[in-house]
Amino acid sequence: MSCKAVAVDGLLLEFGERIDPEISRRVLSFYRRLKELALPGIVEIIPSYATLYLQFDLFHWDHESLCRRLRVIADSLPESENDKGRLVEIPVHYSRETGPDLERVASIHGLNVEEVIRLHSQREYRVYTVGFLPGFAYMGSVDERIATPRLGTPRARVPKGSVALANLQCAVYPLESPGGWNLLGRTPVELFDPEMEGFSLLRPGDLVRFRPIDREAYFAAGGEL
Amino acid sequence: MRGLELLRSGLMSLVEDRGRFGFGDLGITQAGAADRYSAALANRLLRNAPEAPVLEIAQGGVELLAHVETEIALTGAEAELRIGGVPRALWRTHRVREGECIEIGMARSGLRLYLAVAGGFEAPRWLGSASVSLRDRLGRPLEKGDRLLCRDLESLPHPRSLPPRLIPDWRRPLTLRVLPGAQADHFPAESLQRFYSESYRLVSGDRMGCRLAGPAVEHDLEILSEPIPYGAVQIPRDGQPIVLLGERQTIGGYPKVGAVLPMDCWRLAQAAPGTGIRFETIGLEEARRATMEMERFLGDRSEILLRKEIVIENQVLQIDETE
Repeated sequence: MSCKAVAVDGLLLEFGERIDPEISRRVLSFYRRLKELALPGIVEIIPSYATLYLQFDLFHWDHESLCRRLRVIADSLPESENDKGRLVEIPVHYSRETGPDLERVASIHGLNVEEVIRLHSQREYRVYTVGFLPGFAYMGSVDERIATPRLGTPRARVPKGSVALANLQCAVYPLESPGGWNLLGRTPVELFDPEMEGFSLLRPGDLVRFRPIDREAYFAAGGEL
Repeated sequence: MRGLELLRSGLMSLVEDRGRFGFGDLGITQAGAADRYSAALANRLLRNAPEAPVLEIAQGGVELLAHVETEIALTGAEAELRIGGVPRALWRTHRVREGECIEIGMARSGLRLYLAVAGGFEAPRWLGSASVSLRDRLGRPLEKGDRLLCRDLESLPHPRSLPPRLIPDWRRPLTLRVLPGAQADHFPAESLQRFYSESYRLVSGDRMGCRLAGPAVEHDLEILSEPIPYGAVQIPRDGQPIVLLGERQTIGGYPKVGAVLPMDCWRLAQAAPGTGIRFETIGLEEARRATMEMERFLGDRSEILLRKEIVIENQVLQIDETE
């Protein structure tokens, strides 16, 4: 783990330079440990694939004292900690109506739509990081048999709740927004709500499973077209 | 309901405080006043807490009707201010009576004005902050007919103003101090040399960041998406720098030469398109010292560095410069 000053009140911890489940596991277990410890004078703790950023109060820490403290904490982390992320299940209505790219993804890979749905929903995904929009969780890894690059031209409007795929990653759009990922379906659940406990359904380190639901169940749960 | 009613809302008027901190791991941006110097001093003049919510007015052109007896201060961009039809100075506290109009003209230099009211505006809060964040869909720009709530003032303190030497000149070209970042050493030496010796021009900017144009900072670096500090100078493939401000995305994948000091970012947020911009490096110790000094100044609740004024029959007597 390297510890670099990247802002007058910011430190970047680097754990590696690849998207790699093992590197991510180390980032996320350190992130969780720091959230539990709630050290005074820490303003932000933001994990990404292979890095962790800390913003701190200048009147509480300097880069050196904080790095030193972080190294002590890192040394006391168990080498292979069991995954402690919560398991979150997200119901998804996969269909032409809710997933306009479903058929295209299937045909690119010589699969039928049912196989795409099965391959997407039978895995457990890890939330590597959250960004782009509040509550937008970057999850991996998608089965290589359905991995599909982003659209050449992003859509101006991706509906809220869209379940989407880009290369080996998947995500759910928490809000309506422009976006270039392939849309497979839609969930009726809220991903981000400032009134909701914890604000975001998904947090870094969580495990996620998508459960297919039919049209009726989608509408019954408040889903919209 | 006591408060100030928007008769004209201007291009974009947002309630902002210092910003929303501690939720970056959920993808929530910090937002906050783009020019914290002006916002914090508007509060300081009124003896408010430095983080009290203020109104950030992009380019002026706002009119408010007082349904309250209070005191206000307007800081930031240079613009005309009239209260009850009478021209008034910026960077100074003013009494406002019920029924009077506060008219704010178009910005003549600088981009954003900050209107503070005694006691601060009582605004809705989300995740611990009143800052409107368009990126996160928290709150919205104010519209005609909206009312900014505030309390009546019980006693009227002496007017206070900022010594002129502390009022920024927004027309000057900027030199932004950059603390080198995680990828700084990976850029080609000639590119970095160009970045720190040539002059750039501000093309466009908003609360998220500013795009600059000038000699390309060439590189072929690829990085994984990583968290983005305030003030980060990103260099996309075309070599044209982007400086990211308070309403930036939380993570991103462009390499960074470093981060501009926060107080220099506040100045950048006031710069008009076309402004000339240079960069210079700053060491960690010096950056830390300068930033802490600024924070102490903005957070200081004492009278030092403010000018007390006594008004006798419309004549302003500056009685003491307590410094």
